[in-house]
Amino acid sequence: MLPPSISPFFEGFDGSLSSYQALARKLDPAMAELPEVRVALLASCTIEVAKSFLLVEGARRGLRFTIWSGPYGQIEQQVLDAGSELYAFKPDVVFILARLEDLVGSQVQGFITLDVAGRNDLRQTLAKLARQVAQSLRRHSAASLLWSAYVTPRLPGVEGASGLFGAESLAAFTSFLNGATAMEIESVSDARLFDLPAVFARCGSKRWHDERMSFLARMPFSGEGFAVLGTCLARAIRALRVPPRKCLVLDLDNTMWGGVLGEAGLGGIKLGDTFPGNAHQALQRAAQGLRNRGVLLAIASKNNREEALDALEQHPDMILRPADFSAMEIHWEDKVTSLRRIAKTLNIGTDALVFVDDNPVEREWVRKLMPEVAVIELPTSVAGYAVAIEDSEWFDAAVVTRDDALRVVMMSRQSERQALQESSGSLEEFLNALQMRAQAGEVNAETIERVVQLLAKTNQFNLTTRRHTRADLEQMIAAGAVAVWMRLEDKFGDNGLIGVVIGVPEAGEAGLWRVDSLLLSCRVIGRGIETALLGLLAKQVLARGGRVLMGEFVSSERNQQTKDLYARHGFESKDSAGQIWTKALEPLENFPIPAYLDLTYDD
Amino acid sequence: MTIESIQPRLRRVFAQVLGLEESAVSDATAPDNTPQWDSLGHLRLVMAVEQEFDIAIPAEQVMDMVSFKIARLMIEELAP
Repeated sequence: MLPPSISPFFEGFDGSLSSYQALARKLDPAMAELPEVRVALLASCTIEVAKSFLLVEGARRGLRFTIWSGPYGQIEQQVLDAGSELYAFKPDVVFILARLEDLVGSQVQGFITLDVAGRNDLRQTLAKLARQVAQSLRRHSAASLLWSAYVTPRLPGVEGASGLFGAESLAAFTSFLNGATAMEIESVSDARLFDLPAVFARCGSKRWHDERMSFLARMPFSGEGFAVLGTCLARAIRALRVPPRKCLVLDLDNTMWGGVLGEAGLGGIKLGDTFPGNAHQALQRAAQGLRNRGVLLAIASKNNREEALDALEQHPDMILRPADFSAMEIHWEDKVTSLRRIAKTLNIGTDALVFVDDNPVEREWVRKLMPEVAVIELPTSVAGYAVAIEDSEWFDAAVVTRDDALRVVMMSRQSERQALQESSGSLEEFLNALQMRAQAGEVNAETIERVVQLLAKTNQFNLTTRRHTRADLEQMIAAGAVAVWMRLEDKFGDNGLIGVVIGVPEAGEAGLWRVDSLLLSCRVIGRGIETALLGLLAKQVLARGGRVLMGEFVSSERNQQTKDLYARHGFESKDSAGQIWTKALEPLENFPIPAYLDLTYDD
Repeated sequence: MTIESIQPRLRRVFAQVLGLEESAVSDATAPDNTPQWDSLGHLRLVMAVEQEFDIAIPAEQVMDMVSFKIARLMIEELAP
């Protein structure tokens, strides 16, 4: 995750507070080529000290944070006022830390005197405040919002005994409040809670609070607390901005199970409910959890294929079975070859792979030859393997949709589709034999998460690679854009939501509409779905008074296969670079929907 | 703890937090002659010094640490 260009700066960095300060200063001018994320911090107390920690932890994750910190105690003033410094800063992410002690100090101080109605009122007032702030932010900005969940205040004298979680306790109240606040906040797009209690737990209560600084400078957290906050916040922001890797590649011997299968045999490998077999099972369960979230699993192992498959199928304590893997490279060739083949089979880039192998030599070999592959550095003991995968952060995802889980099932039937293609005489015959049923409609609340996720993740079949956020897209639609999604089923199953096209009316030129985005999930490339999407967009745009459609191709390293898309669809090139194309919308018959596609459109 | 063992470590902490060369840090280094030593810089300095020497400066003295020399004397007194 640490970009090679800045890794030299981290040499000698020991994580001490002073070395964070020194590194932040050195990094600031050295990160020019990293992608920028503008982060605004607003809090009910002083948290400006967090800036240097956040900057360093962002750089470690390949992001250049430009950070603005608002004056303490001005959350509402900054968010409600369209002319505030906050909006002048043009943030991409707004982090808000409101402490109960600061917001409603006297109520929580007198918590014991509040009756049930009083406590309900307090909870509702606070949850509503969070929603109002989120809504107001959304009116003035498309920035992602992270609102900190509340940490139970430490108020001497207020509770009978700390450590008892009674139904009437402040701790219980805070938990309920966090649930209510999450629901309110999430009613606003791209707004979520930040798990501050988890940061607090990670640091430890004793080391998190600094009473002296709280009294002296309204700065309630310790230096160590700020360092942990910076780390956790940088991780959360990265999850908002960078899509997760797509595939986890596992080694077998001494990774998925203990021992060497070729020597110990099926009965001799260590896998089961005692150590170390249970730790290997934990690693398999972690992989299974990722698979449920849509991460593809693959195997790269030096083993006898038959023997390994036999173990995967037959071993009673095996968690993952052959059907859970979308690709299996089990032979005696080297791992680099295996990783390349896995990427090719799954039709993804090698930069979407994460490699897990207990053997440091194999890891080093892959690192050297394929620097784009994420290689997880495993601890020496298997007890830490499962956690190492989680803590690698490569699969962090801000949003997990139902389609993620579907993709894995779909990919496991990809081989059957390939077999059908091979048995079909012509492409036409194959496309007919797939019996495709498509459903499409305009982007709405139900589909927007998945649409935004596709915008964020799609590289290959993507004409412009514009990474609109949910808030961006909502603003575009509110301003008159037409955004259409498409789902696709075929005889082998549901492919999920696989295509998006967005048309935007060009300002100042009546009747001219620009195709802002056109993209397809890689699993359905080569089926003419793009033709159907253009046809649907043309019809919608014509109905809105459009006369000419303007296609754009923005070249990237990955989207060369779409270079001739507009030429193939009868668009006229408007520049020598092949970036701008136009085509008259009438007659609409020039935008046909392929006959082999059974399409329904939800109006 | 002796001056000899405190001095180099404290100089490094001051240099790192305030963005100075270590050679530029002396007993006389203070807020009046160091623009980076503002109120926020002061808090950073206190936290970093405390961590380096594993000490806790009492609240009453936090704002009194107004030069390198005073910091050094405080550590001599507080360090285990």
